[in-house]
Order: sequence, then C-alpha cells, then structure tokens
Amino acid sequence: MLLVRFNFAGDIILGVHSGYRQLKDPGLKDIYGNGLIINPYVSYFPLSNYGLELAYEGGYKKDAPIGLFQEDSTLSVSGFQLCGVLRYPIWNSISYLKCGIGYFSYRQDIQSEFTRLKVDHHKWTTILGGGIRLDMYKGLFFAAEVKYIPLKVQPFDIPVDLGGWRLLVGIGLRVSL
Amino acid sequence: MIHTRSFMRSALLLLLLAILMTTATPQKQEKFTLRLLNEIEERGSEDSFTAWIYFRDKGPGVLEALEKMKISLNQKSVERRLRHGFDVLVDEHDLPVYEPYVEVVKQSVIKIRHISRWLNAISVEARGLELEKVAKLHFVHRLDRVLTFTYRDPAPGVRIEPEEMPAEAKAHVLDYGLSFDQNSQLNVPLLHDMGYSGKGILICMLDSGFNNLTHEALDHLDIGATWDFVNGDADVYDQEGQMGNGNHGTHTLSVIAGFEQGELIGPAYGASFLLGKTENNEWERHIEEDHWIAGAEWADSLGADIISSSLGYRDQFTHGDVDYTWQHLDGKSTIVARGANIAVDRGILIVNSAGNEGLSVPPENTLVSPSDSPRVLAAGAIDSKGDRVNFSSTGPTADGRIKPDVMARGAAVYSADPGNPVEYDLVDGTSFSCPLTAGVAALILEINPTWTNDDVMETMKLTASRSDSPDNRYGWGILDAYKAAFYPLKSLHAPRDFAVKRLENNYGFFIQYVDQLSWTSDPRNGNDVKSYRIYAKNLQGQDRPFELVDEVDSQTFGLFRRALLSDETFLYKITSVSHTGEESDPDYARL
Repeated sequence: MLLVRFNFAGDIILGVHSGYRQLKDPGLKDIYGNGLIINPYVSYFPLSNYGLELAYEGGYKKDAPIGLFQEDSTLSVSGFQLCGVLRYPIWNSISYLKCGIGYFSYRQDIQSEFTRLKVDHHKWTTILGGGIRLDMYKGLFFAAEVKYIPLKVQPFDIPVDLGGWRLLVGIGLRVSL
Repeated sequence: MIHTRSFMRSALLLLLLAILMTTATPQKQEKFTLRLLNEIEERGSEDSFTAWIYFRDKGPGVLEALEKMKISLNQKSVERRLRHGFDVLVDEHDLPVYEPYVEVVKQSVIKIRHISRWLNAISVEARGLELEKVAKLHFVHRLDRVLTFTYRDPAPGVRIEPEEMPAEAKAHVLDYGLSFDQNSQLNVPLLHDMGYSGKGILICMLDSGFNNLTHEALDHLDIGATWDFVNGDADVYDQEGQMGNGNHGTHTLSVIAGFEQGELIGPAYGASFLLGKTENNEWERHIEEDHWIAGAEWADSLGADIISSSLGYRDQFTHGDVDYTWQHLDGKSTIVARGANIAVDRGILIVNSAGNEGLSVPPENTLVSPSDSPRVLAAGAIDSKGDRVNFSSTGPTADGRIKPDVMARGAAVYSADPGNPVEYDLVDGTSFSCPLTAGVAALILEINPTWTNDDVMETMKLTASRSDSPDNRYGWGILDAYKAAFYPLKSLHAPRDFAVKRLENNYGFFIQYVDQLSWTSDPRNGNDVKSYRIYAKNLQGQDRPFELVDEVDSQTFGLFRRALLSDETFLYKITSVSHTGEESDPDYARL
C-alpha cells in the first residue's frame, strides 16, 4: 500500500469482458452446466490508483430438460456490480484488484403440458476479483480478469449455490480527462 | 456283461463331457452370479458350495415330451388347471430337466441336491473348481448361490388359561375347547356348523419336520404323501443322525387340521394333506430355497390346491450377511418368490406367513419372501383382541404394494404338543397365522369349487375387517371365513399389482412430490375392461372421501399424481370398468 501514488488523473474506462462462468451448485451444474457471460463496464478513476466500476453481467441463459419428467426449463442469472478498484502499473501493464457488491437476479422457467412454474428472485452479494490490462494503442487496451462471486440462495426448500469463478478477457478504451 | 455295459455308459458320458468341454464359452465367469463369484473368491475354489446350475433349454424333442406329459399328468393337477382355465394343459415348466444334462453335471460335482423343472435348474454341492468346470458346458446358462434363509420365531407366548369357555362357544356344533377363540375370530365355526371342513381340498404343508403324527388331534388326518426334502426320504419326523426338528410342523399342522373335541379343532380338519419337510433348528431355523422350490413342485405334481408355508429370507437384521435386502422384496427378485409365482400360475393358492421381523427397524419393509409376491397371500399376526402383534412383519413391498394381505391369530395359538400325544401348547408367530389362513382358504374352496386361487384370495381380502381402508400393518384386516365363502364375487375384477411409489421431482430450487401409481391387467377380465378408475383419499384430517383422480383406458397401466406436498399421504383405490359401465370391487395401494 505504501507504493500507491496519489495522482488526480481522472481516467474514464469503457470496456467489455467476456468469458467463462462457473456454476458452483452441483445439482444445477449437472442440468445447465457452466456458461459464457458478457460483462460490459465503466470505470472512473478520480485518483490515478483508485476508482469505481459499474458493471453488468449477463448472457448466462441456458435451456435444459429438468426433473423426473424432463420438462423444458430455462435458467438465467444476471446482475449489476459496483466495485472499488485499486490499480497499479507494472512495466507496460496495469494490474488491478477490485472488490464490491452485486445485485443479482436469477430466474427459472419450467414449462410443460402439466406444469408452468417460475422462480424469479434477487440477491445482494459481494465480489472479489483482479486482473491485468495491457495498453495497445492510443488508450485501447486488452484485459484479462478473474472474479469470484458467491451467490448462495434459497428461495424455497433447497439451498442452491449460483456463485462461482469468472475467467474473463476483453478490450476497452481509456479516456484521460 | 453288466460291467461292460456300465463301463460303456461311463465312457460315453466321459466322451460327451469331453465334447461339451470343447465347445466351452471363453468367458465362463460371465455365467457366475456376482454373489457366487464373491463367495468362491472369499472361501477359495477348494471349498465346497451349494449352487444352482441353470440350463439353457430342456433339450431336444420338447413337443413330443409335452404330448407325453399330457397323459401322465396327475388327475388332481389336471382338474385344478382346468378350473383355472389353462389354454394349454402342460407347458415347458412341467417337463423334467433334460436328463443327459443332469448326468453330465453329475460327473463333476459332489452331490445333486434337487432338480427343479420349474427353474430348469439343479442345485448341487460342488467345489469351486468343479463349478468352474461346469460353467464351461455350453448348455449351462448360469450359476448362482443357493441361499439360506432364516426364519425367526418370536419368544414363546405366556400361557393364559381362560377360566371358562365363552358362552358363544357352546352355541356351535363342535366343541372347540381352547381353540375356540382362534377359530371364532375368523368366523370359522359358522362354516363348520354348516358341515364344511375343507373336505376334498388337498393342502401341502411346507414346513420343518412333523413329529408325533399319532397325537390325538392328528390321528384322523388323511395324509396323501410325505417327503423330507432335507434328508431325501419319506420320513418327515425327527430321525437320529438327520437334520431338522419336527416340532414346528406338528404345531402348524394341528392348527390347520387338528380335531379333538373339547381341545383343538382346526379350520380345515376335513382336508387332505401333503407334508413336506424342510430344515429346522429349533427356534432359529435355517431354510434353504431349493428345498422350498422342490416342495412346491412336488405339491404341484400331486395336485395340491393350497400350499401353506412358513419361511423367511436371510436378512441383514440377523446376520449382517446380506443376501437379500428389503429392496429385493418386490415379489419377483428372490428365487422363492419366482418359484411361488410359477406355482400360483399353475393354480395353487399359496399362503405364507408375513414374517416375524416386525420389531426390526429397516428402511422400508420387514417382510419375508415369498410373502412379498403379489399373488401369495401373506398372513400377519394378531392377538386375542384383534390387535397386531408387534413382531408381525409389515409392508409395503419394495415395488409399493400393500402387505401383509390378511391377519389371523399369531399369539397364544392353541396347538398340539409335539412331545405328548394328549397334551397341547400355546404358540406364537405368523407361522400360525399362516395355517389358520390356509384353513379358511380351504373352506372357501370347498364351498366354491369353481373358484380360482385368485378368486379365493380376492374374496378373503374383500371381506376382511379393514377391507375399505387397508394398510401396511394389518393389510386388509382380520379374515371372515363366512363372509368370504358366500361373497357374491363379481365377474369383473380390479387390476392386479396395484402399487404406489413416492418420487421426488427435483427442479433445482425446489422439490415437488409425485405419486407413481402402477398396475397390470387381470387376465380373468379378458377383454371386458373399458377403463380403469383411480380414486384418492387424502389421509390428512378425518374421514375425507375418495375422490376420482382419473379414468384411463384399458391399455394404460400407470399414472403420475404430481405436485404433492411432502406430508400429504393418500389411500388409492382402483377399479375396472366394463363396457356396460359395471365397476369391479376395488384394490388399494398406499405408502
């Protein structure tokens, strides 16, 4: 922490990550599996090392037959994330750590000749992650990020863990104010 | 000359053996069941084992053999089969095991124990190495262990001497003495008063030995044949150097057929009997399944109408050596259940004790086999007040059918003393509910000689004390011999094997419960069934009525009831509906 420099730079970063999302719950993982997500975000760094990031995670929406009767079902999980970011330059790159909160929605639709069931709930959670950014050309950069988002929910009788690791890569644009 | 012929025969057999060995299947171990393979591995191939050897077929010339068999079939068997509407009087089950196969196997094993035409198998005693050799024979289909069953009798009951006979006992033609209660509880004296005693009905008792057949309550008996399946002779009483203890069979026989005025009268005292002896060791008896199968085949060949048997599977509660678990008790997995099903198909009514395992705490049922078979009448035990005795085994079967079927006295049952020709005993166990039930069946069959085994079983259940709300402790309740004998049996019958299983339908975030109902058609109905009606009664709360759940066509044999709560339990009822709209009597299922 002592190495942190306090420069009022005023960067705005716009970017998008995409990648793999783990679904930790073994039961639901067997049915729906892990999946791909998309993660657009905007960051503002009023100080050269400290910033705030607002992001959206979406794209995880999977169809699969479920239950004894293998009925059609869809599971989707998405959420907004607000994180504090600490960044630090190392050679030609910038590494960063982030932590914050998320507000996630999860929704399951089950539909068959006999059934029409819906789960539609939300939950606050925490986020912890980190990554590296490689500047390429005139503010354009490439980024790779790892995040862990716990998301244990129990809307009904069974506790379910919708959380898991995210392995993401992406591109973005840094604009200095 | 004789020596030469004998030498030639041996040489030919050895030659046949050599030829057959050359056509051996390469993966002989595939023919061994896992439990036999494990036992051989555990004990070593030099040790000796009892094993079933199943054959692929019954050899050449099956059609000719069937023609010959038609002529040689026992007349009583023919009559029983005709009564049961056999399209073909004999089938491959009636044919003996192909003798040359037996002869070849005989060369390789220590001893042949039993030959089963029903299973197309022989049970043998052989060393592991010998079994491996036998497995190479092309006509050998499979090798399995002969399983040992234990049947635990409860501790002997406390003798209670009534101060005087109840007044109603004196109102009957016969003087029942202390056996009045066990008969009157089943409404038997009323039928005796009318002159019925099981006359003309042939009952096979498959039990341990039968000592003291000269007892005053037994000396009137018409015993058609006896056979000791353990020791291989016709003597069914204790003999020096032989296995078995003959007390148990004497007790059961006297309970069904005893006749001594003022002392003991059994429900079917006028019936004829076949006595088959199985192994017995006092109160902890070991019974081997091949004896039972052999006994049932013997009973069939001699034309028995009813088999009354007491036996139980070797279970986890006694030994920790698990041959069969409760999951096997689905009426078709154990070998005795398979044997019993063949016997039932041939028109024999089998009554089996439900078992004395009711005090065990298993995951599901505490039944013994073959009482788990849907068409074997399982008899549970009640006391003098009509309450279930705590040792009496409970259902449901592993496939979700209600068991036991009916209840009869199984505590302080008055019976002949095997040790003294003029003394009597009080005995406990579903072993004694079984002969009382079989005795009632004999009376019903005597009164209704055209009824099939299924008809008798159906009316016994429909007229028992809990017939409108059966459960897995009492079944359909306490028998009523009079009501059953004169029950106006409908020509349309409920489907068979009605069962319910509770399933979990896991949607990830929540579980819904589903009752899976299943049934099979009853061949007695022919093409008369238009549909099946399924009703459900919620058992939560008091006296809720049955509600129609669904009516499905005659080709549908299952139904799911979905979205149930975990604590909701139902009594299900099913009926057949004819093309003219007539509805059969119901059958039931519950968790």
